[in-house]
Amino acid sequence: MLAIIPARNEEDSIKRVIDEVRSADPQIDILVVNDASTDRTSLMARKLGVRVADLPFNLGIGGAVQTGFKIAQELGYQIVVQIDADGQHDPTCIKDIVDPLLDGEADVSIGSRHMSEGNQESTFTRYAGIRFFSWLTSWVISQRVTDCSSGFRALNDKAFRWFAEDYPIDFPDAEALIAAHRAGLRICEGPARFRARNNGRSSLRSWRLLYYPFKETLSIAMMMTKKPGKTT
Amino acid sequence: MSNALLIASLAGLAILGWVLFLYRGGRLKEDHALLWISVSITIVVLSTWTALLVAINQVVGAAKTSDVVFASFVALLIMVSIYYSIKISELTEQNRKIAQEIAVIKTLNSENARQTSDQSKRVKEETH
Repeated sequence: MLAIIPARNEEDSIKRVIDEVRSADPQIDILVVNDASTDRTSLMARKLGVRVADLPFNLGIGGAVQTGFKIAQELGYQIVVQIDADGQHDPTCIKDIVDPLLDGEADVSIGSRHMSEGNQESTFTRYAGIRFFSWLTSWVISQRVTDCSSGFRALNDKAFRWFAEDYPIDFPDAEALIAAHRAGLRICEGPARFRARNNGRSSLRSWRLLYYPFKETLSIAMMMTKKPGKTT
Repeated sequence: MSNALLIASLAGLAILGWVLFLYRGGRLKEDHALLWISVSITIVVLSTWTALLVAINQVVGAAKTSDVVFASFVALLIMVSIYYSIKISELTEQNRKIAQEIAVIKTLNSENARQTSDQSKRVKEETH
């Protein structure tokens, strides 16, 4: 199993995240995808002895995660877990997210902040956005999704091989789930603990927060007009 | 010919001359040069061929014949902009794939180097 940690300028939190992942599951391999950080994120991860993939320029969260899928595919992993580098995701929940894949119940498993108590509350606009797109995703895939924006996900090889070829780049959240559903992948959701960021800011800020709902809605609408691809 | 049409035809000729100059110097690719040559020739033809302009004007009902030339120019510019948006989108996608490919290859190379180093260490330990 490989933990993919997409990171951009996370030198203050990357060590803690790697240490926590290791203590949560000593068997797990770790890949940090350094999305052209301008700080020492890559150096610090390398010092900790994990694999680091350095992107030559900033691709955004989707491009970084997809790079992780491509590397997992090349190295022959069976399961990948996607974890944010800012410390939001509690790695002790990895087992809960991965279990449905190991039991053969799902191909994509999402850790939801809205299915467990005591999680860090987001701002109203963010909360409203998550609720709206979760509703939209649930409606499109005919399955209840409570946290479509969660980046705390586990995928089996069928799912990440599919996404290694085609993955939404800018804001992969809801779009990726709908694409997965249309490709015939099974999705499940379980509770996961989310915490305040150790460091850094959300990728959705300022003008991007205004741009996001339009871009995401357009992408989903256009995706619905295309013929769905199928996994092999 | 009105002053507006004269300016339009001179602008068309200036664009044509500039595009040919850029193409000759290798600073513009064939397909891009052809696109701009088509745009400039269209402007020159519309602003100098009065009979055509009047015929078009009667169909669209513009207030002045020069309006047809400038409206056509704007329409052509919009089409060119969309063409460039398509090209930029393609290049962005190609760039992303190249960047990912570089990162994957470098990571796999590091992985191979690490495995080779581990194997060498093991062989050394066994021989000692």
